[in-house]
Amino acid sequence: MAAETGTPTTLTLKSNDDELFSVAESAAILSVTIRNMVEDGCAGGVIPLDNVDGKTLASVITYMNGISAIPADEEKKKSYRDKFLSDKDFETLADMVLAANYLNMSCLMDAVSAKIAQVMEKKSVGWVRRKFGIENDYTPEEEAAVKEEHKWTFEGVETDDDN
Amino acid sequence: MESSKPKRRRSETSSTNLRIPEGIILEILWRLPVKSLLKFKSVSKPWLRLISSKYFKKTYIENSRKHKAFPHHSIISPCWNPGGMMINSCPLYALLTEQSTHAPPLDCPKACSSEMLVLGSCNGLICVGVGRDKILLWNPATRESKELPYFFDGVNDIEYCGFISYGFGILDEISGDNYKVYALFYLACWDDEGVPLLCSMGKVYSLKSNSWGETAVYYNETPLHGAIESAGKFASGKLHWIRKTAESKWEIVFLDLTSETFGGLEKPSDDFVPRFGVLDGCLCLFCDRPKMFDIWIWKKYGVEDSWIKFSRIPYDSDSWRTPFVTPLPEEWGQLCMLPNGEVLITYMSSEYESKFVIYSPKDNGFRQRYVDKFKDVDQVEVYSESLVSLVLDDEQEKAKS
Repeated sequence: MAAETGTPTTLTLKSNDDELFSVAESAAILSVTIRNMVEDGCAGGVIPLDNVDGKTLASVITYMNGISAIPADEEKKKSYRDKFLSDKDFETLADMVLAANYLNMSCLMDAVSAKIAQVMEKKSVGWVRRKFGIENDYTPEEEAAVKEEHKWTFEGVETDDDN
Repeated sequence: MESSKPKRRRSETSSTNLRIPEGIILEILWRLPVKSLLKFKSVSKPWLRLISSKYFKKTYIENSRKHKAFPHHSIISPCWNPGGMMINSCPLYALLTEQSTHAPPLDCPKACSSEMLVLGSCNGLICVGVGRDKILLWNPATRESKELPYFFDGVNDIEYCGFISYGFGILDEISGDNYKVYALFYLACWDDEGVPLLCSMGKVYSLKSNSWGETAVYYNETPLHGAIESAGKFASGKLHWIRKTAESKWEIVFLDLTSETFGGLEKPSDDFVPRFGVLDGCLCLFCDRPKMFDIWIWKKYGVEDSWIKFSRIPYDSDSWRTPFVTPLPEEWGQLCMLPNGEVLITYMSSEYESKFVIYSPKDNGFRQRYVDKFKDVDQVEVYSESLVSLVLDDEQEKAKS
């Protein structure tokens, strides 16, 4: 996507893989990080966002435009967020949560964290290790002991489908 | 939500492709139910340490309290179930947003088989009275429970006894982590000379010392003589009761859990016998006036605490489009202040079925609710699940070192 020649209310954002995006300032300032840059007068040219890749940034901008088009109705905003996140896989959600944190967008951060929690709630320990890239540092004996202590919590764990 | 704390170091687990810093992991984990968190202690040692830490337990409680979706809150009530008396629980978020909800029974500890009372609920712990004289502390989310030492230890030949009033709460942070239970029993026993004795006994139990403190024995009037509701309402480190002093006269009595002394609190008005609620840890009063309840809240105003009018619930029969029977307020079973500032009204229908209505001060409206499995409800409490252990953190640390 190429940057449009901006009216004063349009900003150009650059992802860390050098993709350019134009977005209405009113939507972009949902990000406190961007808002601060605008207020500091750094928004004249291109705003580089070093921690967000193009794919994720495109998604975040879709969200920014979608949510800022909804008037102050918390229920409608919530249902927009639910719908927006409903078809995202874990990897996308993980990228989004990092982006939301970097861009300091509390409403997106809140929604994505809740979505990740909802996705992982019934998952297995192995699934969480794989998805979060966590090394199992227990010895088999230690792991068995920890599991034994909370045996009942393993009831109803979903079989891994890696989604 | 951006954490207000400075970003902690990246997770110790970031050995491979993990790019999610611990601050964000925390932001995700506190939203999980306790059951999942206990399961995920097996993920790795750093996760075990994080989930078991005092800091995480505290964050879990604080965040759930602040979050507007109340992901970990429920309404609980002792109910009759096919297997006997149990404590049923209805998720608060579902109750607020859906017309019809379920309230399945919690997995009660084995010791709970007969008559049960909820003596109080605080930080995810429920204090339960079982039968005539047994008291349990219980965390339903972790399934940890503990029976308190026998209240009447050393008292011989008890003919009969029962609960008069009670309460459960946490000591304020300055006094350190500890939970206390207050119980006042009536009892009839025989003294050394074989003379029958009818009296009441009150004691405070401390979880930290796992013992009951000194006994106060009352022969005529206890500080809680005439308490309208048995369960003391816990707010700001104190248990509160309404005590009837004479026909249509009442006062507010409290027990300070830190000093273990009784005191009195001024009243906002003389309106007829109010009920209590708790909002944001502050005591609320429902004062009954003709055709309305005034809700007062005891809050910091300027430098001192004082009563502030919070809201008003009209119950003029015209404004209710609900099939209420017989004149109010006789039919008001319970008024329960919900953590979002709405009020849950429980009443018994003419068919002796528990009915629920939520009052919203925002639009002055009432929403009717159907809750399956909540039957004969005459005591409702707000409960929020937590990782709090009945072995206090200080003791856990002591045991480790």
